[in-house]
Order: sequence, then C-alpha cells, then structure tokens
Amino acid sequence: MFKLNDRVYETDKHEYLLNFSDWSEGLAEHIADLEGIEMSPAHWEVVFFVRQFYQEYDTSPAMRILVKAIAKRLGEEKGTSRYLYSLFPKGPAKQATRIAGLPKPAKCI
Amino acid sequence: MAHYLLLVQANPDDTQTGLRALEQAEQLVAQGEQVSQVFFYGQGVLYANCFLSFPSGLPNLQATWQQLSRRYNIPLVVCATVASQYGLEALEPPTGNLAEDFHAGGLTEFMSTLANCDTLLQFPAPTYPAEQTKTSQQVTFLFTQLPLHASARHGLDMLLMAESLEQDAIAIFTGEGVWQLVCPTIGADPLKKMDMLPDIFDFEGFYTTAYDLEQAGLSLAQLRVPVTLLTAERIDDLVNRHSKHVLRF
Repeated sequence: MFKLNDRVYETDKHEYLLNFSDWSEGLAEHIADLEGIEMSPAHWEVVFFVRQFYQEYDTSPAMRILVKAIAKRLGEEKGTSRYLYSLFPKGPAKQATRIAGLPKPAKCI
Repeated sequence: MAHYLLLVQANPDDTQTGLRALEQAEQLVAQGEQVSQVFFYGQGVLYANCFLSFPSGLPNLQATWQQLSRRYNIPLVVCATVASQYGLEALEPPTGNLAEDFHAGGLTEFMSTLANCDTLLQFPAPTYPAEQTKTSQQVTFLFTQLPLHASARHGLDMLLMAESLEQDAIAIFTGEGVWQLVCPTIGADPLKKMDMLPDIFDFEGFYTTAYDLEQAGLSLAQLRVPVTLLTAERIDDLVNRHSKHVLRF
C-alpha cells in the first residue's frame, strides 16, 4: 500500500496502485520518491502519456510498445530506449507505469 | 537438420493431443532434427505446474517432457503471464509452483525462436501443408473463436509481439472470429488493445471475407479496425502458399 497525507492507497501484489482512479499528481510524486525519481516536465510527459495509453487500450505498455508508441505520438527523438532510460533508469515501462498508477506491464510482452 | 518449434496449447488432461505432441517431438529428435523450443501457452501452461499429477492408467506427460528435455537439451518454456492466469506462479518452489526443467519465459522468446525456425507445430491444430513457401517470412494468424474465448486474447498478444519485433504478419478472421473485430457495446472488451495495431504499428494486415461478415450480419463500417475483404480462394492462397508459419487461435 501507499500512505500519503494520512490516506492509505491499496496496491496489488507488485506494489502497483490497485485503483486507476485513486491516482493524483501528489500520489505520483510520492511513488516517484519511492522510486528515487525527481519528477521533471519530461517525466510528467511520459507519465501522462502512459495514463492516456492505458485509457485507450486497457493495457499497461511494456517496453517495446512504449518506445514505439512514444515515437509515434511524441516524436522520434523521445521514442528511444536511451531517452526513456535517462528518465527512468530502473526500467521505463516498469517505473513510469507505477508512477502513473497503472498495473505492472505483463512480463511476457 | 531442420529446426522445429512446438507450441503446446492443449491442457494436460487432453491426453490425445499431449501424446501426439510428445510423439512428434520424439520422432523429430530420433530423425536427427533439432527441436529448438517447446513453448507452453494457453491452457498448455498447466504442464509446468509442479503439483500436477496424472491418473493411473495414463502416462505422466509432464515427466515425459522433462525426460525428453534433459536428454536432448530441449528448452521447455512456459509463458509467465498466461501462467499466472491459470494459477501458476512461474518461480521455483517455495516462492512459486514451477516444475523442474520448465523455464518461465515470454512471447519474446517464442517469437524470436519462430523467426529462426523452419517449421512450427501447433498442438492442438490441424497441421498445415508443408508446401509452404520458404521464401516468404510471413506469419499468418487465424482467428476463429468468439471474443471472450481465451485464445482470442492469447492470439492477439502474440500478434502484438510479432509486430513489436517487426515480423511480417497478417491476421485473418473467419467464422465466429469476425466478432473479435467488433467493439462490444456492453460487457467486457479484452481485445481493446487490437486498436494498437493500426494506431501504433501502422498494421494493415486485417482480413476476412464478405461471406464471413454477411454470416455474422456485420458490415465493414461496424468493425473496430480497417479490414480488407478477400475472396475465400485468396485467403486459402495466403494461408497455404504464402505463409512461412500459420498460427491458429
């Protein structure tokens, strides 16, 4: 679970937010903190992107798909593993989706 | 020496199919062919559960796979994501219930092995003619089930992986499979991610026939993705003469 300002947020067994709608920017900053990430506008852009992605396709994007989707929507220079790893060093798909309040992307895809 | 990839989607209770897959694998190694991987997907993931037992009078199919794997160094790979949907935590005991000799893997491993193998054998599924052209790299996905059938989802995930790895792939929907192309107005929609194919991958390989659409009482305008209509002859041609591999879901 996440605890922020006396409120408890339920999580799944992977420590990802259980309810998509419980998410807020404040909670995102708190999860980013747990991940050791300081949110910059570039981080927010990716976090909002994966939230929108989830709403559109009902699935958490794994790495390959994330790179491809970002290249397509936010431009080729951002749709690279190098750029995304510079923002989320421990795995862009894993960390960005956790901060964005999505389920963990499937291992297999 | 040709390279073979076996895809097992039958559950361990399906003795007929299970035996057929094992006999096929044994026969291949006896002929000196290479079995590059056995991939357990769909209900086939149950083969990798260490708590699995077989009733008396029936062969222990799991143990036979394990022996075969050890003896001929054949990797037994189980899809970890589907596994979790069947109560298999693909980790060694005591953390998980993964049986010995099975490896937790994913569609990435399956697809990359598929790209480099000569023949794919799917269990259960009719075997397609071996006449398939070796010059083509095309992987053809056949979808024939209703949208809530698990294989619709499993096939779609595999198709998405093929596209992620920039494999040449097409998707053909026939019979009740055409319903997968329709966005449901009520209830669950496990196939929503199909939209990613045209949106993100610029995928244009959705096909069906006018007959199949008509049988379902559907029109092209009702479909969630852009679909091309082909004649049954043309579809037959794509499946039997222009595909390197055919996957049926």
